[in-house]
Amino acid sequence: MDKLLEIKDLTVNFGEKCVIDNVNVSIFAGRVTALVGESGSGKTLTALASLNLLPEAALIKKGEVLFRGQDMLKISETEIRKIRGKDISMVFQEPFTALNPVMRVRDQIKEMLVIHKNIKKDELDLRLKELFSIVKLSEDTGFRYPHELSGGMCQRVMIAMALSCNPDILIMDEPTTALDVPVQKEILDLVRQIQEENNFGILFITHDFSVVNLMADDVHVMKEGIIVESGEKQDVLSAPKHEYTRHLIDCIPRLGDERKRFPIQD
Amino acid sequence: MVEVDSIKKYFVKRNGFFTRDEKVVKAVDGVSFSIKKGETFGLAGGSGCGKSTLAKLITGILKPDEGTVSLNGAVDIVFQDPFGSLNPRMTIQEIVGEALYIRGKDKEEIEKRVRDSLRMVKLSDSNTLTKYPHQFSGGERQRIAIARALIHRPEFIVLDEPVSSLDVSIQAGILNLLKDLQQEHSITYLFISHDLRVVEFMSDVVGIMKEGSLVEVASAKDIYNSPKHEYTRHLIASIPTI
Amino acid sequence: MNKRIIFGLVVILGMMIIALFAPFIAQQDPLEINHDARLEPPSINHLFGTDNLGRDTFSRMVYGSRISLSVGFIAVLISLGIGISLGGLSGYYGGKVDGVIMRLVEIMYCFPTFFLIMMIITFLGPSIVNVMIVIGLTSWAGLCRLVRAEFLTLRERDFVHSAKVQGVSDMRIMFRHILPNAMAPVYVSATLSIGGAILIESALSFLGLGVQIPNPSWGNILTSGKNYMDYAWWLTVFPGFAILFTVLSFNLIGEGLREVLDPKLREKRR
Repeated sequence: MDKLLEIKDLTVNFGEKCVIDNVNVSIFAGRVTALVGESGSGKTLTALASLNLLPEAALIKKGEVLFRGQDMLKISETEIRKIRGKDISMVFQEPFTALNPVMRVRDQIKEMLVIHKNIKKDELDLRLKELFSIVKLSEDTGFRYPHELSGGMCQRVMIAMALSCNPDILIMDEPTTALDVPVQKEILDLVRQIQEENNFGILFITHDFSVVNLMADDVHVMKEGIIVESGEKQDVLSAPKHEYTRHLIDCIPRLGDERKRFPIQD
Repeated sequence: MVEVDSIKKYFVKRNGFFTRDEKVVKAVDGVSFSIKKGETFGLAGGSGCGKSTLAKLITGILKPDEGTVSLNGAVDIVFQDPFGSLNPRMTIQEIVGEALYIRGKDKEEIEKRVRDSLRMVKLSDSNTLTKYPHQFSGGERQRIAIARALIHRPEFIVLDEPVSSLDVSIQAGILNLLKDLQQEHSITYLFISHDLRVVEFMSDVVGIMKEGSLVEVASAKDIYNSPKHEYTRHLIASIPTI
Repeated sequence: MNKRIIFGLVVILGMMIIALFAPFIAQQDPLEINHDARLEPPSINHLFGTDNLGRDTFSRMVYGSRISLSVGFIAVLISLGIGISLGGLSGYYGGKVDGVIMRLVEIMYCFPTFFLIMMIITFLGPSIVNVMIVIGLTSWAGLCRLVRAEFLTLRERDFVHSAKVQGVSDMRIMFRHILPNAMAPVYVSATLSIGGAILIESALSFLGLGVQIPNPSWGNILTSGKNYMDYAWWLTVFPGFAILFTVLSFNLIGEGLREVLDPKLREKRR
């Protein structure tokens, strides 16, 4: 397996409080690494750390984020800006707030291409056409504004933007949490399909084990800044070792569920 | 207990500055159903299907264009977003106790009943009362919203996506709580969600809503075992299995 | 805390103390005429010099600060009262109520405010009470629009819906639920308007339509000074700077408040 990015022994503090505690996560080409945990578990911070986007208050105590032999936490802001959005790109939870409301979506994707690639005009149009077909949106959609699109369509636009420069790694932070269940499935299926064709690595952040089952290859379960369990998806789901993993799996509603209550304590 | 008879609500949407390009959106287009006392009617459908408008029509926030809603007793509502449904400038005591305050109850009774209500939703930390909403987590806020709904002992509560913005583990706790409350106090629920799994878990009868109409109404078991409408089957197929 | 607010508050609080304790701070009776000391330059005896009648400019300005501040605050209170009530009704009820109130606002916007004020004052007769009331009555339109816009968005929030379902009265929803959440931009706008009102009062007094001589106000000290500008600079420079600093301070507080209260700006600063 081709290891693209490695987070090694990462420890981050907010003041006295340790929010990421000795975390080790790797992202591989063609695979989806899922970080699972509740809000406040540090999963989003871990993802932000891999882009060196931690908030100012965060203090990196220990560890490194290795990407192409460089430590992302040490290289200069100019260097890292070349990597962000180009080699490593990110898709956020709220597609509406992540898009500029007064710009046609096509122009927003175009901007990404212009910033990171010196691309000629005719090539640009070609690439845009290609991107729209990759995320299965009609080209007319590009001439509309974000508020004229549904949540699912906006998220497709975000994915097109993230893919515009053929990244090595795609970080997805709860990309379907704001979407309806049927749309969620469409988007996730689409992402996996694109990944199979392009072989990039995905770091997938979620609180929902049913989404993990749909998406992930490798799973890390995170609680209060600590990874409590890691493994391949099948193993973690069928035989969870840690009590907390078990708890998260128990909380998932199922169709045709015989349970009258969820087996959890208040 | 609750009778909804062919209610309709249309909105007119204007496009463009200069043209009079008007589009009528049939948010709720002739919906009828009834709920038995102490039971839960679950409403599932995608975003924009009109389920939230229906919740507003039933609770009287919006007036229907046509049709009637008849309720037997008091009604209250719990919304999806626990950050938007609690007034950020009021304390928990004021938020939960308001329904009693405006009915002229005296201070001791209000405080006692607010405490009771918070205990029912399992939030009984002694200094909860004087805190403000932003001092609580999403799950706790949703419990506060439920406590507010419970305070005047309504027979019927509309739950409009009450768990959709919560983590699954928090969601499970809230769903358990709602079930317990229903059993103890025989409250009738209208439970609305885009997630058919959650609707099926909570409900006795399930209605599937699409583009303003109910396309299928059946018992929770039947919806899952023998879905009749194509859209119901599509919803079921899209659910991630585990 | 915000630097601009601190600067503004220090100046304004200083002004307020001066206004409040004017009799103790002023060196002389502001009305006392002394023909032996006409147009004297600033000195220990007359900090800001004397005017053409030998009155002490410093004392006159100390008493004048009472006028400026009270006009600023009272005029804005009047316009707040009108603006909030009409804007609130307009935004909350919408429909016909909104239509009528908004037409009224548009009519207010149609008149050049300063000339309207001048006209009314000429009609009613110049007095400081009239000035306060007229400034208040003519400057609520902007606030009204602002409050209306806030109410329009807030009335669609779920906590308002929830209050409706619980049977809370419209009045209580407006004043207890919506208004406190709508106040942030109102504070900003009101602070900025105080500066504006002070400026209008000074201008009116300068034109002889505000505070009547011999009573002092910054505006009419300027008026009497303008004839002697060539050789008695202190008669125009000191009241001019007093107006400038007071208005500037209110504007700084307003801007500072906007920065502190507006979450969008706050994020940008991070």
